Amino acid sequence: MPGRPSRQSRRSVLAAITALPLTGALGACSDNGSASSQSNSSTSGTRGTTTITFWSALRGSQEVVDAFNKTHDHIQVAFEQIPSGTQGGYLKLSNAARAGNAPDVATIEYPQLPGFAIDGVARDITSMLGDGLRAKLLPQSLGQTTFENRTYSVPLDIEPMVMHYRKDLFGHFGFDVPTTWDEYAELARKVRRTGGGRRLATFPTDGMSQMASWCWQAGAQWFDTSKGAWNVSMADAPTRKVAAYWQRLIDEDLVYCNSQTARVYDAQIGNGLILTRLSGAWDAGAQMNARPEQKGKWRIAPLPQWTADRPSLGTHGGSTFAVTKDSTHPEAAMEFIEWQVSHPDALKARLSSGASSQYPAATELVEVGRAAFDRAYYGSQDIYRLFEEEAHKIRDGWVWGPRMTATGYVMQDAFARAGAGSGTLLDAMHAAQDGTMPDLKALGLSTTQHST
Amino acid sequence: MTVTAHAPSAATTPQRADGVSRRKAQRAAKRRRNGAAGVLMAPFFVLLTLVFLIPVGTAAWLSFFSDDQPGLGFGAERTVFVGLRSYAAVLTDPTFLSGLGTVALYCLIYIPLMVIGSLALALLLDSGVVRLRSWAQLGLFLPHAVPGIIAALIWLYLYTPGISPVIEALGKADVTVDFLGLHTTLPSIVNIALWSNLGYNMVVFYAALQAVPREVLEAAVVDGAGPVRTALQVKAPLVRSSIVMVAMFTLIWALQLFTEPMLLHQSSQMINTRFSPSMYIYDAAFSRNNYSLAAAASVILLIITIAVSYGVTRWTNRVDSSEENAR
Amino acid sequence: MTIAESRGTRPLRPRMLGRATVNAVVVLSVLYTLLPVLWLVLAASKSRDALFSSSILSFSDFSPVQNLKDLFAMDDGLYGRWYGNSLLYAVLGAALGSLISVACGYAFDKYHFRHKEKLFGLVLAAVMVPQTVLALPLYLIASETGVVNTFWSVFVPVLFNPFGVYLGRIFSQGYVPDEVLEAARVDGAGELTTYIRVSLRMLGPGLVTVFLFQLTTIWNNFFLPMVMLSNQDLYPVSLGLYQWNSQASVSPEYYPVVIMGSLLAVLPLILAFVLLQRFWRSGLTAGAVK
Repeated sequence: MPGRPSRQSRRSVLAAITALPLTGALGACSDNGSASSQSNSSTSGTRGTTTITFWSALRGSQEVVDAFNKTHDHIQVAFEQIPSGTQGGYLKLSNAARAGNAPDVATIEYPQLPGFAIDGVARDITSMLGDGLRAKLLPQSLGQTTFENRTYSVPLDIEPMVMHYRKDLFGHFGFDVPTTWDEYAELARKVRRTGGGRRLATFPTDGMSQMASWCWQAGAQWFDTSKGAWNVSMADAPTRKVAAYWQRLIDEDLVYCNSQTARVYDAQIGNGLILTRLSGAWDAGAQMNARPEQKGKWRIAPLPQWTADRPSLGTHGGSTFAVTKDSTHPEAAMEFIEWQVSHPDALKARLSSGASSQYPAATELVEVGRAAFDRAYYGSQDIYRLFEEEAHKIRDGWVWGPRMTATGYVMQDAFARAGAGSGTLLDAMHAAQDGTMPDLKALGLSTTQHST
Repeated sequence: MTVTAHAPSAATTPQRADGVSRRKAQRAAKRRRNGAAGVLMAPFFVLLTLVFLIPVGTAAWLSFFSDDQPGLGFGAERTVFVGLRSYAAVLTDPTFLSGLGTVALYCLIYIPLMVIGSLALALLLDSGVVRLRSWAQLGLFLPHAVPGIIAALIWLYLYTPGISPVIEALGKADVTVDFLGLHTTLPSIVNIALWSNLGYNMVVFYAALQAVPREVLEAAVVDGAGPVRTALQVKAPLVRSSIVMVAMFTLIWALQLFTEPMLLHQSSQMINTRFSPSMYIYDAAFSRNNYSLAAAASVILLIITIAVSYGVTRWTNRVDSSEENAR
Repeated sequence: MTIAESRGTRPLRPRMLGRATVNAVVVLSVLYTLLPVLWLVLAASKSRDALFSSSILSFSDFSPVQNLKDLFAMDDGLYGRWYGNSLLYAVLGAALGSLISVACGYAFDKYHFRHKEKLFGLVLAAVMVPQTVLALPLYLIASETGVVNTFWSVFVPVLFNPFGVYLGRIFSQGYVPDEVLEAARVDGAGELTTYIRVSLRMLGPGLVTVFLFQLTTIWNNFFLPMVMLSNQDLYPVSLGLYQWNSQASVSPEYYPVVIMGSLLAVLPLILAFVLLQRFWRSGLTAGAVK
């Protein structure tokens, strides 16, 4: 059932919020779309029209679909806005696949893709993926959707983690933008001392995706498939370093420690109680949409590094499009996907919704995004230029697990307990691994548990 | 269904004519009765087969099989017999074991409180000194008419700072309580269950107490027993079968713990998606798409339920019979 | 609810202090059970802002009618649909289910056939099996047969009520004397005719009890619809409110409607219990004494 509770990521909550007011306005758009598509198909004469179905929870999808339908007569897309993944969207997709009526095209985020590929919901599209499209996509993104040399979905956006910070407050207190994690911790102490009751950041107790991004950056490899089995090591040396780092910030009371879906987090941002948000590039658009009154106060900087001369980065968020096993028109589905991820009109249509700052996986679209994005909120900072620089730092070779949502829940439960003073973040990582192994074994997967 | 209907053979040894006809009539009557019994029982047993036997069989079957893919899992699926693999996975899963532990603790707190609480209230009401007894019963019983999910909703709001008058009142007295914190979630859930079912079980006990023969009580008074002693030493033992029944049903329900934590989970990170075995099953089946794991967990929960119920029955029977012997 | 005080005066006279203590304990217990319901009633009449800001007892922001309107207007009147669904599942399901169970219990009492007690043991075993155990296989079976996410996927399983069979057998023992059956047989009445014309009437109070128990169970039902249904239009109230509550953390405008919706969802059962109390009390007694 769609209302399944979950500690959804910040992103999905925002997606849910923004999806609601959009639907009303979109009704009008879709009417236009269908009207024009009818006229198109009637003029196109003998050629038959293929209709494919498309599910997504992403902001601006309706605009993209309308733009597609306007310019294509042989393929028409029937779009359904579904709840975001952990809000019930993934359950809906699984249930539909089980009943044999999954849509032609489904939206799947990177962490969940291995699961849907293993379950056979996402189709192996290796042979349908042309070299042209392949060449357009940032290799790190395509690497995330390819397993054992088989590709299961096409990346839409790839979201390097960046540091959103309160420029006004940094200026007011005379803080410098930190570039290394040591500087970041030092700044956290300064903020605690002189920041008038503020904190530098919030450690997200529901933040599997943030934790993953930090560990990814530090060189961790929670899941590794290079030796033909799922090797799970969620407490490897880089992870231990990251966990210890944040544990110290929590222990010294330098950061807030709470869920980012909780109302208290909204208050922390809204009332200027935290100075930085560490999240993906997409969060720039979400922030713009959620808190228009903070216009001009935020800027974006690269995420701090462990070693300044060897920069590395993980992603936070990002979606891909899969052709499902139930699709009766896989070629048409692929054509729509290709257009959606690589055509300038698609990105323009999405950004026109005013709530998106997605960083496209197709590199040549970056300039389109730069030109189309309204920079006013960020004091005319060229954030797409920054995203572009950061995207190239994304470390290759990260692999998400076969049941990442479940793994994340176990981790986050333990984060919450750690936040309440019971156990540590490192304990949470051990708990996540211990809670994941039985799942993988019961699925019949080959598993190992080596660690560094 | 095995309502036995012996196919009556027409060829019976000829005896005295009236004897034959009488026996024929008897057989016909028996056939009619068996037919009637069949008709009356058939709908229920069709349901029993459809929504009980087949599902239980399916669960057992599922727990021994799995749709496996070799290696990393990206290849084609094939259904294979996996023996006890899924059971091993469940029983080595710390999240399942902690769910079991949670429910065990829940039972240990909840069942004694429930049984003692509702019995005490029934004894008090039965003592004859309570004013407006029927109104008191009405008030106590009322929560039973509140659906479980709504009881959980009401209490969730009463646990939520900013809405709850309870927290506000405690705040004024300089007491801050987080009802959904690390160590308070379980007591908070016990409270919801207690609130919902206390009155119902009280009525069960009260009804049983009403059936206690008056002579027994009068004899107790003649023996000089005070009201407290009468209640504890005379009345309570006499409604022992009710106590066992209430404890048993409370136990079966408690082992299924699902609705309350599922709802509170929406608001507290301290209640996770695998908080109880039932939530674990739901999570394994519908969020992790791991059917064999869910089926194995289901069978384990089923076995635990039956074993515990059987154990309780055996234990009470033994206590009963040893007391019979002592008399 | 007037509960018969059959033994109102007892020759047991405790001291005044004891009497006061007893009454105090009972009063406190009643407050414990009643106050949350009272809170629900008061909270349902508050506007959203008042819910979070003002004291529960102030009547300054009194807007029950507005809340009621909001409730039935929210999400295109989904709540009215859920309410109708719940009534359909519960009333129809309990009526049919109690008839099926009582008929079976009656047959267990009045007829003799081989393996009767073994079959009855199976029925009792079914009472003990947790619903959560059956959910996954039921879901998969419903998926295979294509009834998942339909009215039937919830309606058929809730008809199954083994405890009703147990009660039916006990009521049959208590209410339908074997002599009546014998008399009917002598008169040449058919077995089923006798059941419908004579026995069922005698079983009336028992039937109402089973009906009421089942009504409560189905009205409370949450797990099964959650597993079976993805179409919101088929939800019962319990599942619908659960879902709205999950949205309330993001969109607070759901809080007042969830509270008002909860209040309305409580009413039918209270009504049923008050109207039918004469019957169910006897049912409880039967269950308790056996």
